[in-house]
Amino acid sequence: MSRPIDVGILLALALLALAGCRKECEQNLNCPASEICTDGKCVMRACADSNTCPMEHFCSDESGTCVAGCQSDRDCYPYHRCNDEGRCVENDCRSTALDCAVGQFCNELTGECYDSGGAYCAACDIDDDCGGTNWCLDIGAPSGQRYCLVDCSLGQECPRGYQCTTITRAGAPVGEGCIARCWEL
Amino acid sequence: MSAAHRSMAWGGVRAGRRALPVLGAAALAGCSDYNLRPNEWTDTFQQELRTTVDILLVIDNSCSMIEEQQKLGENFEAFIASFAGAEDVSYQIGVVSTDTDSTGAGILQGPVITPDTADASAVFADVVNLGTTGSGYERGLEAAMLALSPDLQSGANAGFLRADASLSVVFLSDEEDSSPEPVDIYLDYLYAVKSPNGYEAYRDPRRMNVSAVVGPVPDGCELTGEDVFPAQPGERYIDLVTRTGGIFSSICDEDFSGLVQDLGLNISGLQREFYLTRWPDPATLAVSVDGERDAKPWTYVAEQNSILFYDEEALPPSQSVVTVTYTVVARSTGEGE
Repeated sequence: MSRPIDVGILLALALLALAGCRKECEQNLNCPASEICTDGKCVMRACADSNTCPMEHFCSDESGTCVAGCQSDRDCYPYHRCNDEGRCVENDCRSTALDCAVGQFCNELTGECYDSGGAYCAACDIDDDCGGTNWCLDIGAPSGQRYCLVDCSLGQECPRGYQCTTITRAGAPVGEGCIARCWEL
Repeated sequence: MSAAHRSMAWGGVRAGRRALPVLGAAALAGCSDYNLRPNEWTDTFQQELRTTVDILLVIDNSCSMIEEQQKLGENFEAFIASFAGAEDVSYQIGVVSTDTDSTGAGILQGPVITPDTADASAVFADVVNLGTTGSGYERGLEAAMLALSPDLQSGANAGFLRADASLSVVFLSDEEDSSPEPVDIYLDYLYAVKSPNGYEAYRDPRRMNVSAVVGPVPDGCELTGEDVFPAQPGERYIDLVTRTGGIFSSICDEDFSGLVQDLGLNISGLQREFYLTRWPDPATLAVSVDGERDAKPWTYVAEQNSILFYDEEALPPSQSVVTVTYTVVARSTGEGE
């Protein structure tokens, strides 16, 4: 007589158990911090946060694993940033002093460093070789070679690795020019 | 229903009878686990004192630096004393000049100073007094890179870098860095030195940080005493300081006592800023130190998604536990973690 009751109870309990198991969680937020919600179950995450992942990877909230790409600049190497597509890409230059190689300027509009060109550190014999209001000077090269110093008297920026310094002739200042150790460039 | 089917059905029920307590327990367990939590999150941080530190001092030895070298040398005791729990800190201090023109470029000058160094204060004052005959093209970042290079670490500078130590690099110069590469090249190199698996220091800047005693940006500063040249702004050094959480101080300060205390505190590793692992609703943030809510003054820095303890005199003490509880808000991919 008790068999139908047993079967009914069993089925009800089985359904309840299955329903309960399915609904242990519905999303990651329902699980402890160290776990993620997978198929309704809270399971251990493979990574706790992005700090435990290799560079150019991040700890996915969805999967709990380290995946390639980035979510913030901290996931990228210093000379890269995280773009809107979640990829580490080369940084724009911020300034000539910080981000460009010797002999370059930073174009802050395009974010690119470019070679200075012009007469900077060009070998010369006389001022006319350097053009404009630039100077041809002996700046202490071991070989005695003279080099062009480009005028920066009006506050013009010098390329990376150069300094705008006062030029003197016959003991008197005549202006300011971009100087570097040209023989090492 | 065939006999075979009945047999199977009753066999199932018989097995089910035995399994009834188990299923019942499972059902109840399932029900008790059916408890969707609110979107509340807690990040827990331990304020850990660094007990093993290697400190590389990169000192300008061009003309005009004599007074600054002396000021630094006079403050060794304050420098060391400011390590929290200094008696337990295993430190190594190595000194190198900014002159990369000489044949000894990147080689540590004098002995490495450790807690076992006899009369360490006098030795320190002597070592940092590098003279003023070095190159006028100061290349501090290049000198640091050379000093930490595999060639010198396996040669003249062997033993200075310890695998289990954090690294602090401190620059002292009155001119801008003239090293040839963009600053990121040097930052990358310094992080890599302390990242044996390829990511540790990048992910946790406390493993490596840069401090600098240089001219402030954008105008530099006027040195006092016999120096006639103003200190240039040390833009490149300061950039690394900012990005690694180090200490910047003006080289034109009258004395370095406050500076060296700040340096010591920073090198000892007491954190001011704690990065959250989820995006919070700022209105729900609750910050406790050792269980006491709002024990230290703090603020939320949205740009960094961090909690900043802004009063340097009231940082969470060594070994304290900082807990931050908040309601998580959704952020789309690409906006950060």
